[in-house]
Amino acid sequence: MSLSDHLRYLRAMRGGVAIDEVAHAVGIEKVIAANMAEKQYRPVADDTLIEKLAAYYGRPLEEFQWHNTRSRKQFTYFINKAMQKETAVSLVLRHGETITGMVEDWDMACVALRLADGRLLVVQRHAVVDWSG
Amino acid sequence: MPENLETLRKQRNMKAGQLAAKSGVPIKQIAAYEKGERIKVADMPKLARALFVDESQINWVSVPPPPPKPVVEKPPKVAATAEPQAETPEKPERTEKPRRSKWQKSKPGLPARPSQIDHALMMAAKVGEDETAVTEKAGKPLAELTQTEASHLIMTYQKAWLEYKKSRVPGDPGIRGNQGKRALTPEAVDRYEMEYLQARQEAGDELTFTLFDGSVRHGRITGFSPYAITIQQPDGGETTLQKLGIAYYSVIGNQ
Repeated sequence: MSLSDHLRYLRAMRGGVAIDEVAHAVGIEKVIAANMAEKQYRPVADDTLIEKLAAYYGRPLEEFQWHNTRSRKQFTYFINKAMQKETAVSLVLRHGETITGMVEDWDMACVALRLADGRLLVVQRHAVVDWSG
Repeated sequence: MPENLETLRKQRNMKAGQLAAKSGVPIKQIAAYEKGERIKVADMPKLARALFVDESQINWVSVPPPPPKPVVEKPPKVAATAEPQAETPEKPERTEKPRRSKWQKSKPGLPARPSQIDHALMMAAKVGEDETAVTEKAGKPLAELTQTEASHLIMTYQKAWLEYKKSRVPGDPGIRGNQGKRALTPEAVDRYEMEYLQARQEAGDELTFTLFDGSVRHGRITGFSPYAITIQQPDGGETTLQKLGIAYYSVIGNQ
């Protein structure tokens, strides 16, 4: 899961606090910086911002850095490659479940995964914490 | 009566950046549309969805607002006995610094960034080349490329991709069979999912939705928007599921 998705998840778990409130609480002058951090396709480049946000959400910095190495762009590359090479992938979801299957199609919001039992699952990309295959 | 894109956006108190984020259409493109460029066929449904209007309600070509009236400057009053003004000294000519092209920003000696390698591979995949072909084109292992070499490689594939796009026959699904990817917020509905949801809604299939907390909901799709799916549950009640809260879903049964 990218840091952007993780940030949105944490904000939702805080009762959906507004992004400008987060920005003010961590002392970011430009709200757009916090907003863009939640929409990044690539890794978030501002290390100071990552530190401030980790402190705000009370999470270890390492956790944020780990998520930042798993950007949405890298996930796209991974699933696209798996689809082309027809290799099975394992996706670890936010609630702890791991699902394994073949990537049948994908877009910017979801991955269509064909399971061994023939079922087609439409997996939401923002729910995927980690991947391997 | 269709309205201009800018009018509709402002009616919804949206900034151009917000519309760009919701629709997935780049902000520069939105600015161009609002200035009068014809909206691309592929972008129209995205903009309509983001604005929650029907496509027919948006003008394909926005009519720019009338230009502001020019301010007529009065000529300065000159006294009849004014002395001729002394000539102002000429400014020294500015010497122009040589411009750096975009790729020159890369530092030549440093090893290529992983994102550059990823980018090169993604671009290569678009034109149907795999990692082996990219390595051959680079002339050395990708891990040994410098930033400048990686930039050149990316540019080569970008040019090849543009050439391919120019030569592509309309209706051809493309090398990847998966064209038109844009960075959207991931909880939005994109191409595949929209087609899937529409098909399931039309077929009246019953689906099972697994949410972030592991809980499950069943029902038939009665509608969906960019960020939510509304289902009719077996007891007849309707529930709207926020896409951000959904982990995955599937049709009940082996489909």
